[in-house]
Amino acid sequence: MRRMLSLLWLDLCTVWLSRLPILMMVTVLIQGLILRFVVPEQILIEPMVRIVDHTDERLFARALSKAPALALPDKASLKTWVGTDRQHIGLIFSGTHRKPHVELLHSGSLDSGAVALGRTTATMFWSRFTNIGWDRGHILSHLGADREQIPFNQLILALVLVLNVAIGSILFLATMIFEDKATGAVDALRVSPLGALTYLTSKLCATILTSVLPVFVLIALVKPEEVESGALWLMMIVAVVCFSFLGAIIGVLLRSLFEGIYVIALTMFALMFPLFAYFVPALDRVWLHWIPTWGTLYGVRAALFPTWREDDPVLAFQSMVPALVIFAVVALVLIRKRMFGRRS
Amino acid sequence: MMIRVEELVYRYPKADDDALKKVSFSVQKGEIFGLLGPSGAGKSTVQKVLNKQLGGAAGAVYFDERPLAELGADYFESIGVAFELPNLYERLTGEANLSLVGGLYQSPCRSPRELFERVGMTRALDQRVSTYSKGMKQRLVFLRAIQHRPKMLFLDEPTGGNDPATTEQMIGVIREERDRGATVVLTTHDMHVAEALCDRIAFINDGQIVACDTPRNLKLAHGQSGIVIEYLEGEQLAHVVVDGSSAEGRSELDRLLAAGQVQTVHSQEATLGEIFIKLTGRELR
Repeated sequence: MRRMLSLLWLDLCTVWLSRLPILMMVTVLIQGLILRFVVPEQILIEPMVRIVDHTDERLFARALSKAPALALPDKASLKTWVGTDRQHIGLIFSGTHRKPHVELLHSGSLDSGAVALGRTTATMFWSRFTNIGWDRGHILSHLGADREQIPFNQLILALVLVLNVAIGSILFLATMIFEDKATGAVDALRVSPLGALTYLTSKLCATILTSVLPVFVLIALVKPEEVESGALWLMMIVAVVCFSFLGAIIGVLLRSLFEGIYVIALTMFALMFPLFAYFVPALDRVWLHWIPTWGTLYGVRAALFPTWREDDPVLAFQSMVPALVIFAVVALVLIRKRMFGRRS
Repeated sequence: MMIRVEELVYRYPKADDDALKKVSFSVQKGEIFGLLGPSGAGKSTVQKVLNKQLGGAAGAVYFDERPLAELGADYFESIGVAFELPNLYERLTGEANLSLVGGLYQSPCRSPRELFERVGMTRALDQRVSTYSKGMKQRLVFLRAIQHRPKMLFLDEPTGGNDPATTEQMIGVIREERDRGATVVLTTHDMHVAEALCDRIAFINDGQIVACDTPRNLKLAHGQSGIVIEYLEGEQLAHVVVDGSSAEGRSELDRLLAAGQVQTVHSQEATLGEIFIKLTGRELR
């Protein structure tokens, strides 16, 4: 334990004196302030309507043929479409012109503009046959429990957290190894009783301790009520460990930060693919789920907004654990072989 | 016997030739053993194999009569290594460099202040290593190696970059370590240091030990017994070599001394550098 604490202190000194954590703190402070005070909580998105014509005489066939984008074939597809966005409103017309019936499907709040648009649209469509009042002929169906809209700036928080944790963990750990190599201190450590596992564990602990402060600052600035969320911190620490192992691999394989900066930049670019899919669900692909940032992102989002998608934490760990295990094994083998392994 | 090396052979990966070619020697407990040779001769390779930085060497190495290959982390508790290049945490203070690395050892370490005092660096204790001179860094590397009181010390150019007074101070500290019971394997180019410290010296050249003995025996074996006398002949300076072991030589010396013309008297004892050149045809550098 004494050995571990000494090395941990040495690593903490190394990483703090590199000034990278200070740079990161300034960055997250700026990011947090922007998210808190500049990025709006609400982004206005135009509500959208889709219609299914189930009337006995297909009363709206002609009208929908002129605007085919409005029509969906059945209730099931309409429900799916409505479920994807709280600004979507679905209208199912049924009955006859003498006995009109409208069902509104919605997953947002009752008093939203989307519901108003749906009611207006239904009234306009039926007005060519009959007058439907607000008090009759309508059913408003909520798909699932109504939820508070997630403020846009807090939605971005998940992304910013993941980005900072990934960059920070990789840079911090790689820097510690680069520093040991550049000063030659690694030779002094090799002829000490220190083992590869202690060497790596100490650096992991130093990275976790160094990453805690920026993460805390970001959460405290943007969503302070989540500072005490155990699930969120667990997710962040697992993410730090996962990306730190990746940093260790880079640190062992390359000679210096100067040489490694291009590899780190490329790695970060690859890790950002799932972040694009976060905002454009159409870009989501199965292979993206193997990239650990995907799991981290959806796990952090699930921890920040627990009712959004209940299976997110499981999916997150499914995505992160294989990457974590692979990175850990590769990092340990490389450190044993390349830094501590020529002792027999 | 503290260290026993038998027919050690080592070849670096991708190299065409062996860096060590059947090197054999032994070091007694409490002995200061010097490895002398030019750059690239194999001195550092021997040290790296002995302190387990390099593996895969053929031959046998025993530490305290136990095969080196079978020794685990405990071995590193028993050794201290001072590198030729000052591999220190430059952004930390000298004290932090000692105390944090010292924490890696189970055995209690000496206090950094006590160690700094021993090499005359007390005022630099709280200063960042990046502000140290080359000699100060070298002394700090040495202190790091001895702070946990190792049984075995590997010193690579421990006095490099230091002025003569500091070198004498370092020589004193190394002797104190030997007196404490430590065994020392010393690599140096400095003949004065080697001569002042080493109980035995091995000359290594091209991966082979070409001579191994005490400094005195090496000098006797490779020097000349003559005495060079410089004296005044009229107003001119002249010199003569006399054999001090013969009656003729002694009477010649007496005659010159009686005449009061003798300016200087020198023995023809060979220096270690001259012996090495004689043995290998190469200079120590």
